Amino acid sequence: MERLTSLLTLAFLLSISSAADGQGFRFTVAGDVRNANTWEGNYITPGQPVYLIDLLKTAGFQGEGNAFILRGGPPQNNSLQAVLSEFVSHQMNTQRSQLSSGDIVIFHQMYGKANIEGHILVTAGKQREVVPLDKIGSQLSHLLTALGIAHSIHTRIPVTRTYHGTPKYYVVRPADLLMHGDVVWLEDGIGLLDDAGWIRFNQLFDEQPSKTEFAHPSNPKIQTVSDEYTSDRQSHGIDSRDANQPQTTAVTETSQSSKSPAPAELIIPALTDGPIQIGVSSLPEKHRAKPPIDAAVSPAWDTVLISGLLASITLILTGWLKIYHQTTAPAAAAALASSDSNKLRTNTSRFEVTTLSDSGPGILPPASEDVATKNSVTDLSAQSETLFDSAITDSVVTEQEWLSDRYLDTSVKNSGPTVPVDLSKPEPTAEADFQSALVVSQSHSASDDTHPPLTTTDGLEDLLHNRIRVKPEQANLPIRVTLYGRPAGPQRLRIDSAHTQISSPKFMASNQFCPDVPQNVTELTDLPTQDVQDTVSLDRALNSLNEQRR
Amino acid sequence: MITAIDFGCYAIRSAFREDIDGVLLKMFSERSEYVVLSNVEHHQQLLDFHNIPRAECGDTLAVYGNQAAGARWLSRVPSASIFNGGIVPPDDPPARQMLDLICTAILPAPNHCMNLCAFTVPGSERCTESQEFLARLIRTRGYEPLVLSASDVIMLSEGSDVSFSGITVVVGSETSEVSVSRLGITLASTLIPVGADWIDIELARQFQIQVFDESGNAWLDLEAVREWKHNPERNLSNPVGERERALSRLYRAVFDKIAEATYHLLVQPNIKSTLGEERLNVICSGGASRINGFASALTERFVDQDIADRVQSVRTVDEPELSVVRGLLIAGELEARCRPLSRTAG
Repeated sequence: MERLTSLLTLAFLLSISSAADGQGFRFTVAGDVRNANTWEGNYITPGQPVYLIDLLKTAGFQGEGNAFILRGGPPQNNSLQAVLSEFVSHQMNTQRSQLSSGDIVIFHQMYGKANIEGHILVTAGKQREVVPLDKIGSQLSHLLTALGIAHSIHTRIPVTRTYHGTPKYYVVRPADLLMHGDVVWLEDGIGLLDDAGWIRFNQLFDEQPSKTEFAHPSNPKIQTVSDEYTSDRQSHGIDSRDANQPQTTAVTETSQSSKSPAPAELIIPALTDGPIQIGVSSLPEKHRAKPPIDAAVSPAWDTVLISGLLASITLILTGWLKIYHQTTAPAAAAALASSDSNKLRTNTSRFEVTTLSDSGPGILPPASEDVATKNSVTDLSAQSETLFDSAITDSVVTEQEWLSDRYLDTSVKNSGPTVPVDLSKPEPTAEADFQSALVVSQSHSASDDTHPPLTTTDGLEDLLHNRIRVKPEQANLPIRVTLYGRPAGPQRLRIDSAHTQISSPKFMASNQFCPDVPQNVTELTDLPTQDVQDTVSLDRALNSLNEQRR
Repeated sequence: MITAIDFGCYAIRSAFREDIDGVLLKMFSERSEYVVLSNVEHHQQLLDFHNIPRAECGDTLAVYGNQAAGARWLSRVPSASIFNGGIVPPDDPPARQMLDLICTAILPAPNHCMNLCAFTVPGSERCTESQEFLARLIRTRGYEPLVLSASDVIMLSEGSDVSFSGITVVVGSETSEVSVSRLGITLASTLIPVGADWIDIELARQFQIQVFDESGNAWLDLEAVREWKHNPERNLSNPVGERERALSRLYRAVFDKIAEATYHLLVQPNIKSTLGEERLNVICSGGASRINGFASALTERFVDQDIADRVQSVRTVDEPELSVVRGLLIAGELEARCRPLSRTAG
């Protein structure tokens, strides 16, 4: 037993150390994504690239559109901001743009209307917060008021705006409107936000998730170990987050950790010099409270850790057995055969959404996608229960726990808004699913009434292809008005002014008393030599006389 | 109501679709210039007789808009641009008030829905003073201003057959703009402070195309130059006569600047990483592009700048006077479709 314990402890320490050696990263995604957030952690091994498409998939982008990568801070001293735009689509298989830690990605969906709550990104130094516009108001003054920043009509805040398809750098006044996807640089206009301001800021948006962990698709093993470790620590009350809260799904776990303003630092002795930060909260360093339990000095730590490891391994094995049997089910195999484990979950959802829409009389509206995904989770679990006898695994791995089949499918929804699944209810039929989907879609449309979509004209295609008929109109200018001031007139077209009196000839005057010859000034500074000669040719006679005198 | 205004140094054009079906595009076009007349009785009687709009500015009369060219013979002084020097003139209060009058005349009354007005700024949208002034004018008419650059919107209006990707060149009156776009998104753009007016002024100076007013002052006659230049017989590739050769040389000087700016845009790291070695289509617009041989002369400059291998084709738009305002309208429509109503109604 001691050998097994030592072996497991060693394996765990090695896995932790590999994660600790990883390169810390920090990305922020905003715009038309379902989970606009800052993603950070230590889960990237050195040299492993992070691609734009992976990050956007994790953040839950839909359809296709343009992603703008803002690198570095706002432009200083009229320098250009490093901005790269890239067309991103779910259909693309290539990974083109590689991200660097600290990048800000703003995604704008090109076609269709994304059901995304309008938000902006506020940055101040290293602090970044995604702020919903509906909660704070659409004017810049609302944001400044919420932050407790004194401002006047002369206050100017730099904003990077990507809404029009072209990233541009604006200087915005307090009365101006902020737009969805704007990046507000507080450090450049009014100085760094003070600590009290950030505390107020976090209190205002306490329910908004601040930092989330990034699931790197090419590194699922490390991610699993880290999640495992975090879950383990939480289940033993080592983490400072609220351990009394029942742990239902991974989605709720993430939201809990982000809700809590308390710190999430873990101190691992004898492994690293500094603390490994997992799910760092948005508060500045000095505002974080100390962890309630110091793991380094706890005498029962080793026992608790080893027992947790044993339980984890048991759960892993049980969950793997259950997944294996589930994937061999003939109904799901057709949809899942050609995908890896991550794509497998997504395709499962799509497979079930198609079935669900076919069962009803009409086509489901796009707003009910979440509900359809929820129902697909339920249907899949029903299939798995008929195909696989889970009597043994259900006793160990409950449906709410991680590595259960419900966890796998709800983890796909980690990037989007959560829909609570009532597991106590009986398995719904397809008709019931459709009815519930209709209900939720109606509620979606009712909620959309608060922000009705704009009814625009339908001739955009005609405009794009110049197929629209143009009718010239004559403007009705006022016949007689009185204007203030005196018109300047065409001053630059004037060549020479009329002399009121003719001055005496100056041909016999010496050079030093000869007045300067007026020359026409051109706007292009580097004119061809030939053109310059032409412009001075009018005074050729006078120039010739002067040269002869020399 | 989605409207668009192209504040050009030659003309101010607006366009909008009045009905929701939008099968008809209403367009207003007013020359952005005025002539100054002495405020005497016979001038007033003549203008009244012909119903010509006028503005009284102290001891002078100003005829602005499309009627300015017709009233020019009364004083023989050439028309003055409302955007003198390519900007909203800070030292010409009547010109700024004329802008307000023209804006009021060419903008329809706002309705209860989203009222958005996409507009360009003469010279460039980078001139913040001009942009702020024009945005305020539009705002007072009940519209939310949306500033865009002419080179960006040209790709929207003329780039449907090239997937809205390529290079756009807009040769305006005061400035020229070059922009590189991909899928309708502008990757980089630059501004060249040389336009068609510089060509006209240089031509008038070199060949002494002048007009004298009643006081004996000499003025460059840009109207005569434009009239001669827009003759269909003019050709940049095969110039005939000394004046036409001079015109070709002046165009070549501008094209050199454009090709040089294009080269600097294409060697930017973000452009190279995004576009790679893809060959790009060049779309040219602006009033100066209507002359024959424009595309071939610009292609020669691209060859000289060693960027011909990056160019797929060079073409000019069919309706340069309409393409900018139509692109603005497209941008406004796209903007309106993405924007929730509640955010602009307040």
